[in-house]
Amino acid sequence: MNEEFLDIQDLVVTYTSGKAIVHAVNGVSLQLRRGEILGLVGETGAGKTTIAKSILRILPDRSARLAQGKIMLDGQDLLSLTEKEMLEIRGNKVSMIFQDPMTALNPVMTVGGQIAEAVQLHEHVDLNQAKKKTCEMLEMVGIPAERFNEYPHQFSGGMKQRVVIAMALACNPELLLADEPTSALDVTIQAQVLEMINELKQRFNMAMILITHDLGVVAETCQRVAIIYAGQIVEIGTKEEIFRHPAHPYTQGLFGSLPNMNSGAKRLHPIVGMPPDPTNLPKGCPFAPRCPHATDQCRAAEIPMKTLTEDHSCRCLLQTEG
Amino acid sequence: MWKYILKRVAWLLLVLVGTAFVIFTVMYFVPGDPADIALPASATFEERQAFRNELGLNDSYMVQLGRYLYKTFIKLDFGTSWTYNVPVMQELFSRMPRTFMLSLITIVLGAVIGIPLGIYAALHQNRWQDHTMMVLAMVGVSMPEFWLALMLVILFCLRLQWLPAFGIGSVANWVLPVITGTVAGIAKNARQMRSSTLETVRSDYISTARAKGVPERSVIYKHMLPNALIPIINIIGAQFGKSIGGTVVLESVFTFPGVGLFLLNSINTRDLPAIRSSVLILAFFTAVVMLIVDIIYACIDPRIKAQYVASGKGRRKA
Repeated sequence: MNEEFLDIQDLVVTYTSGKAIVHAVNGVSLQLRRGEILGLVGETGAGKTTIAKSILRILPDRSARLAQGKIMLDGQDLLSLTEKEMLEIRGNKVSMIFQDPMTALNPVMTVGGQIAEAVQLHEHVDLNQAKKKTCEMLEMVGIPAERFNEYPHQFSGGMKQRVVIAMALACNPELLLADEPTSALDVTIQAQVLEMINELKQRFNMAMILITHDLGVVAETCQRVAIIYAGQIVEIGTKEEIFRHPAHPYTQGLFGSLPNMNSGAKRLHPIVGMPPDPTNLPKGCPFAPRCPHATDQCRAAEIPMKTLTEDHSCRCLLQTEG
Repeated sequence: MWKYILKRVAWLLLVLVGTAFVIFTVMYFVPGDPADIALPASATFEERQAFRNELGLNDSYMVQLGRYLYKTFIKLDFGTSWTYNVPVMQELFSRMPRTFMLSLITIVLGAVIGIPLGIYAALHQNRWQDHTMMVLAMVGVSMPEFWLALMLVILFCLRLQWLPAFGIGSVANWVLPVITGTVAGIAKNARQMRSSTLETVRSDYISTARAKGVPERSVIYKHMLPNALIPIINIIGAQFGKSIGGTVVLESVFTFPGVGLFLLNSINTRDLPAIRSSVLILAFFTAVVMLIVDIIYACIDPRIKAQYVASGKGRRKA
């Protein structure tokens, strides 16, 4: 059996918006083992959510185009499956938690009904059994089962996110795509939700892609980290490697812009400039316009991925292959 | 919920009394003496005075208003039409079902045809189906009702002679009024439904449903439709209310013997009891329809229901 549970090769996704073509994901390759948590870190608009939606193939089919690439899940080529076969994967083998719990639930369906819907679809059981399973799931995420018949507006933000998590986990997925599961929550609730995700992940031995822009969240949960910039993975490796020896100037910039309690500095050090326009990406390294070390060579041609150590690669000419 | 409905019914009574007050006052101050219209031009001053005395038109405003409200709301006596010399209610009872049916048919057809067209357009956004539909809807919304009615009469009654231009005898009489009344409704509903569906399509919970593995058909019918319908129900309710009172145009173009036409004729002859009662009955039906719409609304959207229940208990949820 293949060691890699999820294997994405050279994924390219574009959106058409009016006449312009938006290059959202440009040749992303990443691998994930069973039971592993990979943090996908990047700014808003870097293409993180698009990658997750590509795996489930739920990109808007009118405007988005999966132009190139291969997504293998457990030896199965997801992009060659029919829509019907895909329905069996979604919510069952792979499920997704969306960013904003306030809008992720259907306001006119009971929360129990929404979870039970997923159970019924995938486990082919009758309504009573689906309800029983749903109640178990609700209890597991810390919501009393009596609230089965309540509507989303009767729940607080943190509770809604628990419902969303219960729904995502209802069919014991093998891969969970968590798209900024905690960004919309306040800090104390964030900690609770993260702890719960961690616990459930251990219990079910799921693989997980955690999309976030919060390095603190990554430090707490992930084993490996991929840093995304302008639709490209600019650096990928184990958490320890990346946190201790960030190699790409962008990664260094991200860490540099974190407040440090010990240094006594009054001001933060943000990365100068803005991410490039995705309809008009610069030739060569997309980070070059903001990079303090950029040379003409950086702007000349696409930068290849270099392996620095065993599990640490980076797209930067400054680094030498180790 | 029951408390809420009860409260709304009480409001309805208040609205009717208010309507009665307003229509009475307006008609009191509108120029034009009923005696001049009811009696022949040759009638003497004494004859006119006697006519006014008999109907109590010489009393002061307050006395007349008090008498009118007392008769209408306490004794439920709606008076006798001066022109037709029959009890007004008897006339209205035979006419109201026609007006109500005409409204109901146009509204139901407008919804049944307009809503699916709107969804279809939304699901084919920016393709030719969508563009064609929206151009047609634009034309439908912009056409004045009376103009469309006249054009249809010219085409189907005068040129082709397929349909009768007026009357109420057979089903054929209903065709043109219904078509005229429906066109604008279809166009409005289609446009509304399109934009409300497009808004729902982009919602996060639709992505959630897809990510759960819900088949596309179910995504549309189970998740998208109920949410997209919420604003439409409100609009259709308002349309219904408006169309019950607004069949005046349709009824007069097609000489369709409903309440609207009766009201129009009564105004021309200053037939005060007939005017007041017609307005009152139209107001009553409009209010009842709005009440029913609000209840349906609450059934579809649990958030609204929660609000009603909460306000019924005398507290509101923030």
